[in-house]
Amino acid sequence: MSDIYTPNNYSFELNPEMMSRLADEFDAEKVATEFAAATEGKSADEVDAQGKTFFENFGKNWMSQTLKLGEEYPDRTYEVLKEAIDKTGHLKFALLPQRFLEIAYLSTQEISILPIIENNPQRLVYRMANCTTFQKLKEKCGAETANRLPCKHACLTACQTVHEELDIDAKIEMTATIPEDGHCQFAAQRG
Amino acid sequence: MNWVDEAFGDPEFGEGRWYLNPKNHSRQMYKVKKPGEKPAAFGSDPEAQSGRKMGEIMQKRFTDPEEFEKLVKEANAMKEKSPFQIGQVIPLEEAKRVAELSYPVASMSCICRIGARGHEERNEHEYSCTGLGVGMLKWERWPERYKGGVNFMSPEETKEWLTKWNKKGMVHIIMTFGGSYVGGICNCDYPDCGMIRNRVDYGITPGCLKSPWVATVDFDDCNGCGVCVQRCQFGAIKFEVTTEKTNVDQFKCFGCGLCETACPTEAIDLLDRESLPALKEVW
Ligand code: SF4
Ligand code: SF4
Repeated sequence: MSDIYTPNNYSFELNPEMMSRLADEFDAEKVATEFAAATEGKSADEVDAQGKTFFENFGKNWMSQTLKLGEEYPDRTYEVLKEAIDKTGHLKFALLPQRFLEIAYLSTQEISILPIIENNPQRLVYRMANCTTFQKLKEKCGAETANRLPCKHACLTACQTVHEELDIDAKIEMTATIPEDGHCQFAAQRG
Repeated sequence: MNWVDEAFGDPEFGEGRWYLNPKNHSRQMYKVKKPGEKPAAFGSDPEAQSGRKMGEIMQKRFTDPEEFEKLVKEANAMKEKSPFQIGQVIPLEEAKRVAELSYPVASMSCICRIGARGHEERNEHEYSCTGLGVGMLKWERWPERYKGGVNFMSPEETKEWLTKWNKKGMVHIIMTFGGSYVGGICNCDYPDCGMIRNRVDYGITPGCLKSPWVATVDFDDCNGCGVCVQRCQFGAIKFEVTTEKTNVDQFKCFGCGLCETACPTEAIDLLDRESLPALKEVW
């Protein structure tokens, strides 16, 4: 490919080193194994209660680290986004949280894109279909526990955290689940 | 309903208004490449690919007229996997709604005017095209296309900018970039615009579908000033000498609404194409 298409050697892609750091730290197999050990022999209600605390904690750390590394490893797409935000006074929602959510999922899931269903000034909606965390929970804790989706607390908390940290007021909800719909879907709605 | 709406529309956002469906304005920012995979460049740029394909058809016009007719038919029978960009005329008010759905919006130079007239729009005051969506964050990948850069605009600035071009007499055409993704709104006129020219002169439809609207004149309100006749880029309005009023040939009308926004007596209305039995399949 001619150099004319890559002027200034800009990279518009996510930094692979950043992604592998996040992948190591928030490995799905590791988290599912830990959760399985922590909940062994517990009743369904206990698993639910523990799942909430465990995965909320995980989701918060996952997104906090994503925000930190996402700043440490910028790319040209992000720089242009920041320039566009400065120029227009807009675009913070939905594109800033979208960037960090894409980093978080792309680094820790076996997907090449994070399907974005809506991204406009009112709403950000994204979807996870073949979720590795869900698969690993199924393997380590069994289908019954996995289908109770303790991991949803990680996704919801990550989505909540990114908006809070970026100082964006948005209502976060889960609008589809893998057991019922074949995919999980999360929506951030501006007030 | 046209085939684009069948494939990409959602009645929740209006029949025939696939371009108001938020899904068609949403896309990821990043794609994780396989090892060794190169980033997208000219060859995978849908605008360039579509232009090249159109160029191949045009070459056949003189060298092989029969083949030309065949290729035009094929282009017009397009479906989702077509190599052509989908373009559709929309009136100003709907273009403004698109401006609220698409993030980000950046104005840029019109590629058709460079090709047709050698006229290069050099700065944000001259730019007449927009790119929509997250792809615009990567515009530097195509320096030849975006010579002079791009100008990011807020939704309000975009609406003002669209209104400016509407006042000048430009037709708004939305464009897709790969599948149903709405990647641009152009401000177009005949004969500069390749999409309009391909449709009006050669009968190639995908790049310039008609809007879901059709103009009609209320003769009681028309004062015969003729402003609308000058505004219509499609030759759809005729001045009737006997009545000293104008009349719309609704089969020729593309529903751009340029006549409606300029009529000093508000004598022109846009009707829903779907409500007109003879026109509901005319796209
Ligand atoms: S612009 Fe309006 S008033 Fe003037 S001729 Fe056209 S319809 Fe009639
Ligand atoms: S008649 Fe009016 S709405 Fe129809 S194509 Fe002409 S200017 Fe556009």
